[in-house]
Amino acid sequence: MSPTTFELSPELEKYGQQLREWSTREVRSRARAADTTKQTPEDWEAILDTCPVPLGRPDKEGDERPTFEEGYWLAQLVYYENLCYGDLWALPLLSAGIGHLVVDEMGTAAQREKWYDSAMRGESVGAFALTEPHFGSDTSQVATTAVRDGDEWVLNGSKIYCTQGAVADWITVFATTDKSLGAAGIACFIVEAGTPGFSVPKPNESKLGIRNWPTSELLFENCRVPLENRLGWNSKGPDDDTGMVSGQRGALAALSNNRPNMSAMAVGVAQASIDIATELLEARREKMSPRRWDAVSNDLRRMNVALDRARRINFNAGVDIDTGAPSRRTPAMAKAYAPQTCDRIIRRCMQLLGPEGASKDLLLEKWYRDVKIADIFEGSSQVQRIIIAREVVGRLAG
Amino acid sequence: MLNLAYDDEQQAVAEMTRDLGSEVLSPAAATTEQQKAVGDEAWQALHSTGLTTLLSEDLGGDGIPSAVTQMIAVEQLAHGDPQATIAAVWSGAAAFFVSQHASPAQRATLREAGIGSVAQRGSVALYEADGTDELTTTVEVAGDRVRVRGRKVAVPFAERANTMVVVGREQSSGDLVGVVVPAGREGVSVAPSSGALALDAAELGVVDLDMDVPVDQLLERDGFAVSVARHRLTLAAVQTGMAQRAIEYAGDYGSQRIAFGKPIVSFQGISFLLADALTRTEQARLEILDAASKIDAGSAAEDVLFAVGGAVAYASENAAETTRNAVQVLGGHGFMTEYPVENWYRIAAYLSTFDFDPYASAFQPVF
Repeated sequence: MSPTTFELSPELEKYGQQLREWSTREVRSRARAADTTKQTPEDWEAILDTCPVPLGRPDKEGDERPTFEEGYWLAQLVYYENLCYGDLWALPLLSAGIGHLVVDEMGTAAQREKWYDSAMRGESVGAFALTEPHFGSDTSQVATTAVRDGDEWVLNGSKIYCTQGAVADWITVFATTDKSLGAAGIACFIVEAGTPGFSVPKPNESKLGIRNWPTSELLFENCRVPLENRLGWNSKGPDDDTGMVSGQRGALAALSNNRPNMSAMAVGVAQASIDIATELLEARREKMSPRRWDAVSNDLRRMNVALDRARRINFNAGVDIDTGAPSRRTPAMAKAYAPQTCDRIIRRCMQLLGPEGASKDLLLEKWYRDVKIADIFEGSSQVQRIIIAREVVGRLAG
Repeated sequence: MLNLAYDDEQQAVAEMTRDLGSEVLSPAAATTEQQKAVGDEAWQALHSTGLTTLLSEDLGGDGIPSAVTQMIAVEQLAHGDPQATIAAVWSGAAAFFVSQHASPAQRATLREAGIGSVAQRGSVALYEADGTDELTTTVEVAGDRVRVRGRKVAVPFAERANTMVVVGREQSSGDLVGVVVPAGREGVSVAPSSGALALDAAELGVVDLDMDVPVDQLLERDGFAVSVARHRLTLAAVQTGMAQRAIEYAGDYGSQRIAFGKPIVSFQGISFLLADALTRTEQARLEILDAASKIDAGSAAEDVLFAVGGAVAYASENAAETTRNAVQVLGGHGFMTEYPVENWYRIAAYLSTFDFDPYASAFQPVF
C-alpha cells in the first residue's frame, strides 16, 4: 500500500470539526455586528472561552493547542480554515500575526526569547509594519529612517496598513539605516507600545472589509529604541551569532510562511458561502425548472472541486514549511490560487441566490468584501506569480 | 450594411453625458454613497438629460430616443457615477413603460399625477430570486379584474415610488405582461430592508404582491416583452460604463505608482490585467449596441431576448472581474473607502446578481 494520503489524522480532523461547529455557532452570530460597528465584540474573551477545543491563546492557561502528527504549519491550515468558516472577525485575536515570525527569522537568541517565545505563548501581541504610503510590493523603498545615536536608534517616518498596530504590545518596524545601500540598508527594529515618539494617528482605516481588524497608521517622530531592539543586535552592536539576515529578507521570509494561512482563511469563508447557498437553493429547488437546477447544482459542484484544489495546494505548502524545505514556491502557489478563486466563489454564490444573496440578512456580502484583502496583503497574486516564475527561470522573471 | 458609427445626435449625446458624468456625477459620487441618496443637483442633472426618465411627448416628455442612443447615454453617465445613474434609470423606467404601453385612459390619469417629473420616483418590479428567465409572478385576467401574485426582489424605491409597474407572466398565454399598481397600493407589501452590498441610493426592497385590480391597470401587450428586454439592457450599459471608468482609474493610478524603479503599469502582471479588461469592456459595449440595434430595427422578440440575455451576462461578469482587478491594481489603497474602486467592486458584484443566468457561463477558478 502506498503511504500517500490526503486524509488528515483522526485527531486533527476532529479538532477541525469541533472548531468549525463552534465558530459557526458562536463566531458567526457576532459577525454582522463586528462589521457594522467596526469593533470586536466587547465580551470577546468570554466568547472565545466557550470553545470546546483549545484555541492556543498564549495568555490563557490550558489553552495550548494540541500538537498533531502532521506538524505545526499543516495544523495551522486546518485551524485557519475552520475558525474562519464561522467568520473572520476573531482571527486577529487568535493569530499572532507575522511580527513574531520576523523575530524568529532575524533575531538573536535573546530577542527570540523576549518577543518570539512570548508571542508563541500568547503573552504578547506583535505586529508587522512594513508598508508606507508610497510603496507596497516593492519593499526596497522603505523611507522610514533609523539613525544611531550612542546607545540608541532614532526612528523617523510613518507606516500604514499595520494590522493590530493600535493594539499590539510591540511592532517590528522596518527602517533604512543607509539609503545608499538600497534594500541592503533596511533593518528591523522592535518598537514597544508606549515608546515616546511613537504614536498611532489612525487606529483603524475605513475599509471595504475586515472592518473590525485594526488596520493602523503609525507615526515615528524621533522615536528612540535601545540598540538591542534592532533585530540581530545586542546592547553592544551586531550579534555575531545571528545569520545577519537583511531586514528585507527577514520581512519576506516571514510573509512567505504565512501565505498558506491566508489562503486557508479565504477557503474557510468560501466554503461557508457554498454551504449556505446550497442549503438555500435546495430549499427552493421545487420552484426551479429541472434545467435550472441542473445548472445550479453543477456550479455548486464545480466550486467545491475548486476548493478541494485550494486545500491540496495549501497542504502541500504546509508540509514544505514543516519539513524545512527552503522553497517559497509552494506557499506562493497557495496564495496565488485560493484568494481570487474564493472571491469568485462567493460572488457566484450570491449570483445563484439572486439579489437577496447579497443582502445584509446573509453574510455572503460581508465575506465578499472581507476576502478581497487576501489577494492584497502579504503579497498580491501578481507578486506570487513572479515568485513562482522565478522557480522556473530564475531572476529573469519580473 | 454594417455601420458602427454614431450619427450626429448620438455623438452629441455621448459627449454631453460623458461631460455631465465627469463634471456633476463623479464629484458627487462619494456624497451619494455616504448619504445613501442621490443629491438634488445630481438628480436634477440626470433627469434633465431626458435620457434616464424616458417620457413620451404626449405625457410632457422629450419623446423616446432609440435604444442605441439610450444605451450610449446610460453608459457614459455610469462612467461618472454608476450608483446615481442606475438609481435614475430604474426610477425613470416606469415612465418608459407607461409611455410605450399605457392606454389613453391610463395616460390621462398618470399625466395628471405628474408621472416622470423630477420630484417623482418610479419603479419597475421585474427581478426575482431566480433571474428573469423563469419569472414566477403570475398575472391572471378574470372578467374585469386582474389578479397579480408573486414576490419581487431588488425593487427600486420600493417604499415610496409614485408609479410602480409590475412585470409578470400570464399562465394561460405565456405572455409577459405589465400592470400599473394603482394608487393606494393595496395588496403590495414591502419587507423592511436591512441593506445590501451596495446601491443604497436606489432604495431597493423586496415586494410581496397579492393584488386584485381592475383590468384597465394592465399595460398593452404589443411589444411589451421587447420593452422588458430593453429595460434589462440598461443594467448592462451601467456595468460597462463603470468597468471603463475603473480601467481608466486603475491605469492612471498604475502610471503614477512606482515600484521596482518604474511605474507599475510597465509590468505585464498589471498591464495585461488592464488590457484584458479593456478588450472585454469593448466586447461588452459592442454586444450591448448589437442588442440595442436589434430593438431599434424591430427584430423578432426572440432574437432581441437572446441578444439581451447574452449582453447582460457578459457585461456583468466583465464588470465584476474588471472592478475587482482595479482594486487589485491599487493594492492596499484599493481596499480603502477613500478611493472609489472599492465601491465599484461592490456595485458590479451586486448588479451581477440581478439578472443572473446560470446557463450563460459556468463557474471558473482562477486557474
